[in-house]
Amino acid sequence: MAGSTRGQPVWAALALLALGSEGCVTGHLFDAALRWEQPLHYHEARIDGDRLTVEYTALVTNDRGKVLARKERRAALPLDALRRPDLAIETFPVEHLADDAPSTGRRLALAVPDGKGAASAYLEIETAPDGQEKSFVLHDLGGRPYAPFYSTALTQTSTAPWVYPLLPLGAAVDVATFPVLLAFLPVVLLIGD
Amino acid sequence: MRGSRGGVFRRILPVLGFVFGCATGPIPPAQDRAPFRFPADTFAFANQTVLEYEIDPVTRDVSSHPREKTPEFALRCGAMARAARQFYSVARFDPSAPAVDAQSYERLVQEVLETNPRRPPQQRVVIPGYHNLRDLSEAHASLVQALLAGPWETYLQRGNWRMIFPFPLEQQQQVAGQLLDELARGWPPIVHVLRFPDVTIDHLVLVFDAEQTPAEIRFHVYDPNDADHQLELVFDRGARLFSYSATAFFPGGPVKAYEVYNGWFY
Repeated sequence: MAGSTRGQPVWAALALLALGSEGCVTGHLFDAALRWEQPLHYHEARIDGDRLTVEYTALVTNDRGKVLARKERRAALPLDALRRPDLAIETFPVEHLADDAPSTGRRLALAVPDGKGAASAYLEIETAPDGQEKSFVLHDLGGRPYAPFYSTALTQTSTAPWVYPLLPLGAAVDVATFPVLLAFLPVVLLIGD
Repeated sequence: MRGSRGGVFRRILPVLGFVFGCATGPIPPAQDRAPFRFPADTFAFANQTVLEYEIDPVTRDVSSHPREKTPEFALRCGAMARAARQFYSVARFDPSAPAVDAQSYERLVQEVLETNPRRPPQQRVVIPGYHNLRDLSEAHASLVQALLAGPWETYLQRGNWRMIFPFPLEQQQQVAGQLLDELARGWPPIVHVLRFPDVTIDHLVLVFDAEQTPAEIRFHVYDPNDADHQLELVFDRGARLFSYSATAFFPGGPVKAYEVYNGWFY
């Protein structure tokens, strides 16, 4: 009895370590359930007050790059931010809009880089060889010029819901196997190259 | 005096320095070293895959079957990536010096391969008669292949333990920054690219340059399986995801990446 009581903190510590290190099984389950949404094609753009709203088709992919679905998405981008070439992708202030949000504002033409179809205000879109529209530049008469906007700034990640019921099982396996992995680590380090 | 604390401390200091120095010590800046060049600083031959791969052009699914003839030089991606960096950092090629006999080249190559693969060396090994590794390994392919370690060096690469654990997006972002830092120091990082538990790719490559755009970082890569083309490991800053070029065995697409031959644990 006393022995098992003394062992409890050790097991608790190992369990915490296993889960804290995003255990092997749990972590890979989460990886497999991770989804990326990235713009494929823009089909509408509007200037709405001090922001640009874009509507686009997004590709939903998994961590192996397999396309799982296409979704129609909308986002708003502040015009001030679009004028700043120094703004990093990771910090660009994107507001993802609800799918049923009303479309308001002045509609813009969408043009390819050769300028065909360009109006006084338009979105010049650059397409990558794989067909994905990788970036655009907003052209509008008057005011300061705009910097290129890179579509990857619109990336959204989510986790597929099927993973959650599997978590208790994954955590149990991790807690059971983590001490074994921990024991093997010094062996790997010693015999490794 | 022999038993004094100071004496004991002085004796264990080198051991502590070795253990912790290797683990966390900064890599000395590159001295008198030109940037890594492709193909000059790479091997003239390629590591062969044991299996032959077919990639469906539409679905990008990969199937494989054994080659008709077992390849003689295979499963050496780790040994080759490691050796390419050792030659880059240790060897100084002197084409104006007269060539020496095969036995001398064997000794010189061995000398290069015995240096610490995790840190730039203090000494240089002069290799006469050739302009670069490409020339040397073309002229002495069998000799160099025989000296490169066998598949076990790749299987038992110390950092392999890391592959079974997941790679969160934040961690991949850190890896991208770490690779840029290493390149800025003139130390081309060796990277394990993988999709564990999927085994579509489980490979070691050498990163030797990078181009940055606001959207991505394009790392230029020497892939030991391809002697003729430099490949790319691209980090998408928005998705925080690495992608590897299409090759004869991999359809191209997202991978996980981490640096190996780096510090005590990798």
